[in-house]
Amino acid sequence: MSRGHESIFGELEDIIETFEEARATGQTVHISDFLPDRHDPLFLDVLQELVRIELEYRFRSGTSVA
Amino acid sequence: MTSESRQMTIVSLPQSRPMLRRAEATCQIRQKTFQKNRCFNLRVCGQRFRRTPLFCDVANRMASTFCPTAGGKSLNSQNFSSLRGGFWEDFRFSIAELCCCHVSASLLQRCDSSDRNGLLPNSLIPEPSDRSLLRRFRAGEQEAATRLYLRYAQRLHGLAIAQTGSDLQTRMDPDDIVQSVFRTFFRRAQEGHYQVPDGEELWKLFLVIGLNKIRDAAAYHRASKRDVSRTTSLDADQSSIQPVANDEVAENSLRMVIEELLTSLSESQKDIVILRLEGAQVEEIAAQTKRSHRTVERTLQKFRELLRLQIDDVPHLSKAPDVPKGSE
Repeated sequence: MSRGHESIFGELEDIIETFEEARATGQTVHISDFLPDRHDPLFLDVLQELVRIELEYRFRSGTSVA
Repeated sequence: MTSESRQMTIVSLPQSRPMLRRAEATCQIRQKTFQKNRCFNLRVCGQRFRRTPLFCDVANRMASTFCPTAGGKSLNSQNFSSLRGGFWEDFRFSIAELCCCHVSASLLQRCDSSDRNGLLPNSLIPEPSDRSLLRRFRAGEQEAATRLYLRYAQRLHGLAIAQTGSDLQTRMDPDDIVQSVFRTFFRRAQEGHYQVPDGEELWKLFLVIGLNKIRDAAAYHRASKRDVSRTTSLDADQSSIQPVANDEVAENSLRMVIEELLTSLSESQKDIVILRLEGAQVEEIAAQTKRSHRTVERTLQKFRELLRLQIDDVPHLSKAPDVPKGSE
């Protein structure tokens, strides 16, 4: 994923915002599409946050998380 | 010219010029060193003019109105600095005349619109957009710079006053802040740093530059070796040494800080914060913004942290805003 202009909340928020926006517009999203490079310092933080958000959405919609 | 006719002349200024349509019109002229040149600043209703075409136009019209002896001679951006003697004395006299004129709101209301012929040409009445002015300024039009100045100087002046703590007011002149903001803006604009989306205003940019200038100046004056809190006025009265609880100033400051922060957020982040400030719960916000609870909570948390950092830097604000408590 390319790094564009960083908002005041930082790049982590920018990535999550992109993920949320994609979800809000009904697209089929895969967490892996939004993760930075594995060696990126933000990798684990982004992964953790996206998983939490995805779990929340699936829990609320009753979708299996398996 | 009688006093009455002079007043009527002033109220006949066009309504579309904010700096001239103010009910209380005061005018003062002062000499100030600016970039090594001696130049004269004319201030009308708090707006400052320099030797720009607009300034010269206003000055000449004032001179012709209030000082008939100056007829035939005119001020322009070329001869501005070199003017001496008779005309200058006449011009100063005309300004002094104007200083004595005060227009009451009731007089303004009584004045029939047909009397408002205006001292400025009608071509000045349509207001171009900020985007257009910025483009014209980059193309070398000094008039565009003047218009931007006139459009925002007053608001910036108000911002500087609101954001300057009572302790700093003896050291910091709001006019200096305004000048500094415009100096920075025009320099960076010439370098091509700013872009204005169509329909947008430059005010947000001026607000950010202004707040940064004020913050820097406050930090400078509060540095330990020149700490402004150790400065006392010889004629300070009791009220000046007691803490002043000015809720209105604090509220305005807080509002401006929040508005400044909001401009830095994405649309959805902005919506989240605004809904929260309006008292909505996390669940409602998540539903309205189509974001997860987790994101709503995280966004609010980050905004609170940013706000706290900003508030610590702003005079008049000693505590965080009362953001409604929710389930986060």
